[in-house]
Amino acid sequence: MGSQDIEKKNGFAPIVGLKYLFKKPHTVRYPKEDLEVFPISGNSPNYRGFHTNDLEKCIGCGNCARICPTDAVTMVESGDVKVANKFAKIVRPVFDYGRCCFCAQCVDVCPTGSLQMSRDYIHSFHPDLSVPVADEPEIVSKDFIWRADKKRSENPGYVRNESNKFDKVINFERIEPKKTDPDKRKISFSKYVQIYSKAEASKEASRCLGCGVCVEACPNELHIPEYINAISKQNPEESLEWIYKRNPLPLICGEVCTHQCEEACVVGIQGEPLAIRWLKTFSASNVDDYLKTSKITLPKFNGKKLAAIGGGPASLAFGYYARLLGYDVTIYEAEEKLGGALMWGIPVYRLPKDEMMKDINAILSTGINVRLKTKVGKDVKFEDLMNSCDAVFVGVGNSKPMTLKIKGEELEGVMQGLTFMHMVNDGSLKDLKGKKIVVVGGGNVAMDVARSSVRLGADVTIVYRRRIEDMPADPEEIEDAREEGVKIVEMGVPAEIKGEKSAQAFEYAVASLVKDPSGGRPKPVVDEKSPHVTLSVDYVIAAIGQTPSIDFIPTDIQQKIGFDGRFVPVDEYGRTKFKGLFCGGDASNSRQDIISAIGSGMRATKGVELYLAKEERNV
Amino acid sequence: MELNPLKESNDYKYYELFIGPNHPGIEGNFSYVLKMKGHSVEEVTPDPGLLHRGFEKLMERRLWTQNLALIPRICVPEPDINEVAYCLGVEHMMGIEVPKRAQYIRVIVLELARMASFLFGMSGLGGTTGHYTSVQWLIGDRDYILDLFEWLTGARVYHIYQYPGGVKNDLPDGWLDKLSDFLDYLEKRLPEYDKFIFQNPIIQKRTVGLGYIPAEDAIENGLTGPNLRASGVMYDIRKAQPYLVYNEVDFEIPKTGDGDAFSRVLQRRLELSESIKILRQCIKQIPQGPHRTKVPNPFQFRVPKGSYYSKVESSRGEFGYYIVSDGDVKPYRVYVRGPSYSIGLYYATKALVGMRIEDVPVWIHTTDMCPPDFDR
Repeated sequence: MGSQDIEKKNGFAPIVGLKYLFKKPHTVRYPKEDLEVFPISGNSPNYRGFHTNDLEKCIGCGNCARICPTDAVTMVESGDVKVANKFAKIVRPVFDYGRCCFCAQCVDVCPTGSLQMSRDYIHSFHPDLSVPVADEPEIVSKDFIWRADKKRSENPGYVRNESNKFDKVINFERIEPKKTDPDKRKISFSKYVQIYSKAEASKEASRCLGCGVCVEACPNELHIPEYINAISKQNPEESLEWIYKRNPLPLICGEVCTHQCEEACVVGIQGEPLAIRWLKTFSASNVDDYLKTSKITLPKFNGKKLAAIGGGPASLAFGYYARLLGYDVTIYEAEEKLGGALMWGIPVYRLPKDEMMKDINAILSTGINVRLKTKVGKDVKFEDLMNSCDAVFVGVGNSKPMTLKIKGEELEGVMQGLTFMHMVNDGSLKDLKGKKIVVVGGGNVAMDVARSSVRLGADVTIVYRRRIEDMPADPEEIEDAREEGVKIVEMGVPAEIKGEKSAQAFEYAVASLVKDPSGGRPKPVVDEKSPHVTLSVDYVIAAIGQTPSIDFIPTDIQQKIGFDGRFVPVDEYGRTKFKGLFCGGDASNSRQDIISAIGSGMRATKGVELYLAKEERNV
Repeated sequence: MELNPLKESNDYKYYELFIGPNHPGIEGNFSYVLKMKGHSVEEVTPDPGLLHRGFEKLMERRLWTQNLALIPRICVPEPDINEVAYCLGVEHMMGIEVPKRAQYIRVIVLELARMASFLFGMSGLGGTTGHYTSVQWLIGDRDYILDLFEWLTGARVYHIYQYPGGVKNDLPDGWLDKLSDFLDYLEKRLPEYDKFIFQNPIIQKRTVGLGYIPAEDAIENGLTGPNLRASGVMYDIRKAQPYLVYNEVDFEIPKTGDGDAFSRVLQRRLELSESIKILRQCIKQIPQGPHRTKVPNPFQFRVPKGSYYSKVESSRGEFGYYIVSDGDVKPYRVYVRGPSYSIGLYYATKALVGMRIEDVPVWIHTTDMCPPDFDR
């Protein structure tokens, strides 16, 4: 019908409407009848109705509350809820349906997928979501049509689940940094993980939801969302300013931190967590002058003198933060270079020494005195230090290795992990071509030893007493080691090292694992029936942990502070029970990683401040 | 605004009349104060404010993607046009390429929204002319579009379906078939509409020759959309500056001609047929592929520094978003150009003068103005 025809006036034309007197209406007699549009009766399969939240899956990150355009979501404490993982908070969202606009943005940003929307929209009934359909009061069941035989909570509307998670707004796929191929990297000690480019870093940082669950997981509570946000804005300087507030060794931590934050990262629950560590490396390596960038102004010396024993991360952090408060700090280091475990324990393919010195030099440039090749107890007396300084911080770390306690340990060719790494790092061990090496242990030191040996040309087998998934080493370290050709023997308990003068064979028993009733890692059990396996070896390296060596402290003080051979007990500010003696680093905390050491050093400065203030009042 | 008391004379009664939300003849919560001389209008004063919600300021305080829940509310009868215009602007500033499938889905959604809006607008005319059966017919048929929307987006009116980089979810299985069925149904209905509404002597008597808008006046006052085209100016953004995939579909701009109230309604009716034509082509041509590209998550969603004016041909005319960004996670300024402001706020003060009081609601409804888009 053309426009001319439509325009024609026709008095009889409207009579066509009369036939509709006998037709069915558009409307349906709800709830007896329902719309036939949808494959499932009721309303649309992805209807945006009232929310349902799986309280045990929810981790209380609060992203739903932050995205809500109408402020309809409040996070409230719910103490009796079972948490999904150790990082989960105990707050849960509560919805104010007077404000909610049912836009489903909260569902889109929920990283666990616990928050969903149901097809329920009859607010006035407000039924109990856990009640099955059959048990519902008549007034509810009469007026609402459900998918048959399902509970309300199983009757979802708009959801974001595993199958369509890539449809939605969170980016679950990590931007991987460029890595050298395993074949190439295992013949050289050069760094094999490339630092992000600016575009890559910004793209990776833009995956962050900014919820801050990672902050609580970090032993030193870095300002993680803030510095990632700055990287996302392509501003590494601002990012470093945030990092430097709580971490004076940004580049080192970027390369080798144990990254608890990434374990906690909420994006990692359904996808891959943010590469928080690599992002830190990016901002630290893109800034030349840390102190200038972080706008640090150094105060005048306040006349108080402090000593820090040991040149590792704990003492460096202690020195830096104490200097910011105006103290005159001297670091006493036994070796000829600063860095402690960073310098001698970590191989250069993970942490290049020039990157490490960049961080350390920035700290030293604040005006901290360093006395190298000065062993406390031998070159300087501990008592003299206690007398001449206002407070002493002990950050010596763990240098006394644990032994295997098996037969043949005294043979030549049996070494400790840290001794081996020291030899690799100071260059005294150059070639292991064709040698067979067994590494005992499953921690990061064991991985370092194994991978360094591979780079020196050796054939390496790791023997660990539990399974691979129980290893305390970082998962990516284990994976990279296997890529480089390291063999791993699971459930192998060392039995004996055989040989006449030097080690020639290594015998281990294959253990069976017994479940730990308290929920910890399973226990390896060896009995008479366990089969024994013998490997021929040239070297056996034990990397099964270390204990602190604080022999320079007189025994009476050792007793007074309660040193039990493994840990120095301290309070939250690093104070020991002995007046004026502070301790930090691996010697006093069980996590034994760099970021906890930095944290303990930083807290100890607060302890020193409190202690000296108290002393002054008493005088 | 206070109304002046009556002033008696021998020939006429002069008085002021408030025609506002309490009157079924006005669209939305808008009002005019009419100075009357007997039965005819002497002077018109628009009286906005009843609908004002401060959208533009609200948008400056929300994240870029949070705004997507807010902007559909700017124009209630056609929320999708706002979403698409905003997304087009944001995508242009960020340099995001939208997948072809998403563009087709957007065109489908836009045309469905246009049809729903036409049906809604034409039903308003039935209300003002006392032709109540047409209201029920048109609103009833519009509901089938809303059902399709509910299935696609999860809500009937405020869809919140567009997202920078594409659309939120893909077309459900069987949705296009259902759409095709609906178009068949609607095509069957259209001849009945023509007979029932357009050939109806009463409606023709009420609308033909009423509120004539000359082409020069229409251009000078910034009228766009069907109101402009009914005056004989064949300007349509879909043709003049094609966005999305409008250059890949074949459609015409119908010509009705003389700019009176009847031709404005007829223009809409004929454009409805064109929309059906576009939708049929889209159903045939829609490619497979992704329905959105990856963009940063809402908390890290930054739009580079700059400004852009994006526009979309809505059922009422040009809907434009002028977006200014300073590179942050929130917009610096978003200015909305609603298509109804030129006719509802400015041209109404001229056009209504001399009109009889019973024709005022008819004129308002044939221009199909939507007060929320200028009193926002």
